[in-house]
Amino acid sequence: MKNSIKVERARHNLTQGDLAEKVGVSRQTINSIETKKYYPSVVLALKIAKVFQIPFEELFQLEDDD
Amino acid sequence: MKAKKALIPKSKLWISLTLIFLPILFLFGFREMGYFQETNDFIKISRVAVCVTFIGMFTLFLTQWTKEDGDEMYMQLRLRAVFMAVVTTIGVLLTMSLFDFIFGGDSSFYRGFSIMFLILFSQILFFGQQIYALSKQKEDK
Repeated sequence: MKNSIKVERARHNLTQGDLAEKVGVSRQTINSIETKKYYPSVVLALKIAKVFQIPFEELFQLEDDD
Repeated sequence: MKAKKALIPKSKLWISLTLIFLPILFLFGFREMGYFQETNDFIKISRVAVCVTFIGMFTLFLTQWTKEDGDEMYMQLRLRAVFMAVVTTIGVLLTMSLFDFIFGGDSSFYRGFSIMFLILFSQILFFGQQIYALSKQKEDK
């Protein structure tokens, strides 16, 4: 599963720490999601989408091998 | 970070470390001073010391290791560490029992304390490795 969190962060001028604070997780968690080392829970994914005010499926997309 | 509240704060890390090391130090101290007259006394007291050390290892595992530790990813890492510890322990026990079967050893290895020690030590080791790797991550601006 790929995501465009990094792009959206840049668009909204947010650091990983800023986004982490907004959704109530650690900066390491945001880093791990961006680098695809960790797949977030549905709740967390929806919270991130809400911060960027975009639909969930726009932020997270399935890859061919998923 | 709801789970963060369930963890022991990092400021209380000394409790875990004291529970782990103090019984061992007392045990060896008393032995050196000749406190134990019989081997049985030493075995009984050492069991108590080991139990307290296990409690210390368990509380260390439930301590907030870094200031950001406690969200869903860290909880998953903890679960993974438990799983890996159990798998490692079973693997070690199987290997040892195979060697015992081939070469004919004693069964002292299978005592509950050994299994508990292996599981708790592996949990701390696996979780520590993961936390160390995470702490090396740089913030991406």
